Amino acid sequence: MRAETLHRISVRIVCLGLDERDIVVVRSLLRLIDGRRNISWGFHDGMEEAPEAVTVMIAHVSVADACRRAGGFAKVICAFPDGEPVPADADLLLHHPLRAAELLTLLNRLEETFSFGTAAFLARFPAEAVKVSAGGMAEEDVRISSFPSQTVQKRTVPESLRQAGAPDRAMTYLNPPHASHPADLPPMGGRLPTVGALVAFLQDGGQGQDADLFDSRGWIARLRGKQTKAWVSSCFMLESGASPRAEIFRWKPAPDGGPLLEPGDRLVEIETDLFAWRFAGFFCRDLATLAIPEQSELHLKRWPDFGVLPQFSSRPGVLLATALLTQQPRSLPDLCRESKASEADLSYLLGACWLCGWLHCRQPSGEMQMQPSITAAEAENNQAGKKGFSAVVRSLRKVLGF
Amino acid sequence: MAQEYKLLFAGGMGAGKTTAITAISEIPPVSTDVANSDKKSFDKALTTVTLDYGRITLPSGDRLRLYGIPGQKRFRFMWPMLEQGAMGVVFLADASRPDPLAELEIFFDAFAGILASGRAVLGVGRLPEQHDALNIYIESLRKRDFSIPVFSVDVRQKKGVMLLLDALFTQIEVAEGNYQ
Repeated sequence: MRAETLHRISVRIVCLGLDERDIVVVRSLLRLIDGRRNISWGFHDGMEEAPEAVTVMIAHVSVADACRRAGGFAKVICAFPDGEPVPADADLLLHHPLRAAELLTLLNRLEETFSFGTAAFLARFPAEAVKVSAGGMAEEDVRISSFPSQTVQKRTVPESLRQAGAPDRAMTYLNPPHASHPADLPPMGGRLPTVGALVAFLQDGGQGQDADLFDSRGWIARLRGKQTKAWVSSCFMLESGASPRAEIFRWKPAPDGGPLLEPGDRLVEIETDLFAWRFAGFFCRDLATLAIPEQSELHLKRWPDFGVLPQFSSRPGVLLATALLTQQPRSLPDLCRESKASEADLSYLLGACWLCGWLHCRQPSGEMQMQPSITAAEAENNQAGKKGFSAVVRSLRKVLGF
Repeated sequence: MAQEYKLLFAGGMGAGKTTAITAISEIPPVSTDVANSDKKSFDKALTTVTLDYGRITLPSGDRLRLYGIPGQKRFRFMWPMLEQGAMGVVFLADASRPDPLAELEIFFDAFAGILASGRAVLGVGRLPEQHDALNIYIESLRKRDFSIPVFSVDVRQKKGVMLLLDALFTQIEVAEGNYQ
C-alpha cells in the first residue's frame, strides 16, 4: 500500500521554559507514542529537521504568548503552574510541572488531529495533490500579485484584495466562530494570490460575522467548475485542531523568498470536496445554520466517501442518516428522530453534502423521483430481504463487534 | 433449526475478496486458488478460480456463509444461484487494474436485483490520485438507477472491511424499515 510510508508526517516537540524533569516526561511519552500511526514523533534536539516537520511548542505560561505571536508552530501548548489562573486565550493547556497522564491525553488528541489527515486524506491526496503554494502558484487559475507591503500592512485580506482591484474575484471572507488565531491573519503584507483566486481567508471569530452558506456554496461550485483547487490559509487547517474532525496538511514556505502571508501564515492547496467538508466542519455546527425549512424533503443523491472520513462515519447515527436520506426523501425532523444522530453530526453531514451539491432540498409538493422503478424479479428480491435479514444483521453486528 | 444465510463478495482479480473474507471469517477461508496464469495484467502468485468460502456462526446457531465470487466467465452460471436469497453483496474493485469499471459492470448487471434493493456496497482500492476518483463508479451505478454506498477502502485493513459491512448492514436495515 502506497500511502502509509510515503505520507508519514514528522512532528517535533519543542520545549521552552520547562525544567529537566518535564523534558524527561515529554521524551518518554514521545517514545511511547512514536509510530503508532503515520506520525513520527520526536523531541526537537537542535539537530537538523526535515523541512516538512510540524513543530509543536510546549511553553511555560510566561513565554507561551510570545511563542504564539512568533508563529511557525502548529500548536503552542501552554504549561501553567498549579494555582495560577488559567490563561483565557490558550486552547491547549497543561499543568506545570507536567503530569504524564495529562500530557499523554493531549498528545493523543494531537495525534488524532495530525494522523487523520495523513492516514486517510493524504493517502488519497498525497504531497502532489496537497501542493504548497510555490509550485502551484504558476497554474493558470491562481497567480500572485505583488503589493507594496507598506500600503497593505494594516489592511485586512479582503481590503487588500479590493485595493488590488480584485473586488469581484470569487473570494470569500469568513469568520469561523471557533477559530482562535487572532494574530495570524490580517493585518498582513507581502503578496496575495488573487486571480479568480478562490481563496478562503479566515479571521478570528466573535465579531458577529457568520459564514454565508449560500454564497459559499456558489463559490465552491465555481471552484469545482473550474476544476481547480481551493487555496486556504494554513491557519484554517492548523486551527481546526480544536475540532475532532480536524486535519492538518503539510505546508512549506514559498521557496522564492518572502512569505505569502504574514505573520506565520501560509497557503495550502486542497481538493474542492475536501474543502467543502472542512468548511462544513467549521460552520455547520447546528441545524439552524442550515436554515432548512421544516417541511422540506431532503434527499441525498450519493453517499459521501466515508472511506476518507473514518472517524466521522463511525459516529452514532451517521451511516443510518446517510442511508435514510439516500433511500427515501425525509423531512429534517423525521431524519433527526429516526437517525438519532447528534445535531452537530447531522449539521456537518448535511452542510458538507449540500456544499458538495449532493443534497437536494425540496418542498413536499415538488416533484422528486427518488426511487428507481423495479422489476418483478427485483421486487421479489426485495421481498426476500423483508423476510428477516434485519434480525441476522443485529446478531452479526454483535458478533463482529460493531 | 439453524438457518443459513449468504453474504457475497464480488469483484475482479486482486480486488481483495479473499482478504475481506479472511478479515471476518471464523475459519480460514477455503480458497480454490491456483497459480495465476495472467501475470502480465496482474502480478499475483495465486488467484481464486471458483469460489472463496468463509463462515460466521451466530449465537443462535445460525450461520452466515461468505462467498467470494471471481469474474471468470466459465463460472458465471453459478451467480444467479448464489444471488438467490443472499442477504447482500460487497462489490470490490482494484482501481489500478486496466479497466476496473468494465470488470465491475459485469457484476452490476448480473446482480441487478440485489442492487435495486439497496443491499449492496462497493469498496474501491488503489484509487488514482485525482479529484473524486470514485465518480466513474458512482455514475455507472446511477445510470442503472442504483444508489449504494461507494467508498475508497483498503480491505487489507480490517477497518476498511468493517466500514463496508457497517454500511451494508445499515442499508439492509433501512431497506427493511427495521433500524430502530
